[in-house]
Amino acid sequence: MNRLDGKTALLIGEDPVTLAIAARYAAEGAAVTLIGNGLPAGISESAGVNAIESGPANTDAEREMIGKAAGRALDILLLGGADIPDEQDWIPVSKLSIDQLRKAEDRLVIRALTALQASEAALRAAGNSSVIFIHSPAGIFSEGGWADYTICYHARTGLMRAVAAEWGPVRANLLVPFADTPGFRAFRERNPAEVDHRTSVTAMKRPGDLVKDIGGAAVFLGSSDSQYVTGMTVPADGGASLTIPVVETQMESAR
Amino acid sequence: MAGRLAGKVAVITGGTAGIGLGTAKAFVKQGATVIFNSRKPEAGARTEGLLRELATGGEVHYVQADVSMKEQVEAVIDRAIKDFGRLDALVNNAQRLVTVKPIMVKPDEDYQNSLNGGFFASKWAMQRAFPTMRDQGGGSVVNMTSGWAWQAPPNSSDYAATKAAIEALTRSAANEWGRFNINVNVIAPYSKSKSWDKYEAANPEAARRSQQANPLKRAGDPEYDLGALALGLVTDEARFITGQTFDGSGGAFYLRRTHSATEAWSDQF
Repeated sequence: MNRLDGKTALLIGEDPVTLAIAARYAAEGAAVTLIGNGLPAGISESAGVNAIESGPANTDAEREMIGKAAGRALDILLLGGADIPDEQDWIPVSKLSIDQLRKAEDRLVIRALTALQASEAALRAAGNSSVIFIHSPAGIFSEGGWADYTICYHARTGLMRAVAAEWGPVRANLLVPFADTPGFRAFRERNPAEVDHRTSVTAMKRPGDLVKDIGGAAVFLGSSDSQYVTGMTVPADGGASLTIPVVETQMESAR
Repeated sequence: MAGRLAGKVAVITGGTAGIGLGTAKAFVKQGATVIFNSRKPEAGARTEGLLRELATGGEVHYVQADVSMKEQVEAVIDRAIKDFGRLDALVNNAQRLVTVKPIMVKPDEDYQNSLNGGFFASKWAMQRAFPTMRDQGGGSVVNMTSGWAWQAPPNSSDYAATKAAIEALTRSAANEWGRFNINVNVIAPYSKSKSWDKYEAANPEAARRSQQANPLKRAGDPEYDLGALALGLVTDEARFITGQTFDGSGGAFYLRRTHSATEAWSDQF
């Protein structure tokens, strides 16, 4: 557990995946700063990180805070995402308001751009540093019903690729988790048959452990193991992105 | 401090040069026992000596084998299983060289040779390794593809088709074997090698521009870039990553249509 000894990591977010990765990075020896909105009480002590409450997102104050936290040289910048929303918050295209889209865009795109620009000098100073975007299947597939997330996560893909193309030797990749988050558990409680079926048709037949599986993949992407990997979408999902649940369902019903 | 692959047993095909050798170096430096093969025993013996000097706790063994022959590639896998009782990582690196001919004059035999020395070599090794990986509770397979599987340049249809077939084999195996904690991934490398060195010596300006156009500004190192990537993919950290094609090109393949498409502008970033 010393894979990130001597490295500095800055994580922006408050979703369960980002919090778990913060703890894993600290356990691997990195000096971790976590900036988020409404972070759990006591996370500095429990995760061994320097946790900072950010206040309102996308402000000059937040940009200054991120720049300061990035320091002179930053090895890893991780841009958090969002947990699975409740069904009542799912929005189809026909009902998506401009305000709702802007809200998702602020959280998933503008916030990432702000953090990238505020820490650009520090990332470049570290050389072959690593930018990791926490991503969502909504940014790869388009299953319908999540118009705001589908649009904004696809925009994050564009932002990642632009950074990867422009900032080398700084590298940038997407990490797509399939994880046992509180949102996943709540969703499963409400839809057990559907979720269990979908899980059963993935290669590894389980959601990932936040610290061991998703945290492990984040260590891989933050470490020198992946120093020659950039511009990639990297699912840590036990093969979930390879499955086509609709076809599996059709196959089952055809038996 | 124990290496990251201490106590682990790995098979690397085509281990005497290039990415295979780089991967073998990365693995033995992390404590793995490495079994590797090549067709030429002189190079094998030489490499065996080199790797033993670098080893940090694991053993190093050479097996002469041509991976385009089923029984020979199976013998490489058997060496690991019979002598060490386990197989944790299989890196199917070897690829038989192919001919340079357009489709209309490339004989079936060329395709069969390419498939035997790449696709079937990987399949035979994976099939032989699977029962052991399953019974011991898991393992990792890393295969090799190429940006040419996607760009498919003229005159190399046998190679492009072979590599595309290896990618599909990788995804199928990932889906079939994930339930046994076996992850299977594939790398498309862009790496320095003996042929790169020759190219660079003959075309220094073109080689410089190619590296400048690479998003990470350099051609990959067989050990520290590609060997490290294979290493990462066989460790516990990547255990939930499976069925993926890794762009081991510094972003050259996924981000740009060719190595040089935007090189005229890349200085401005």
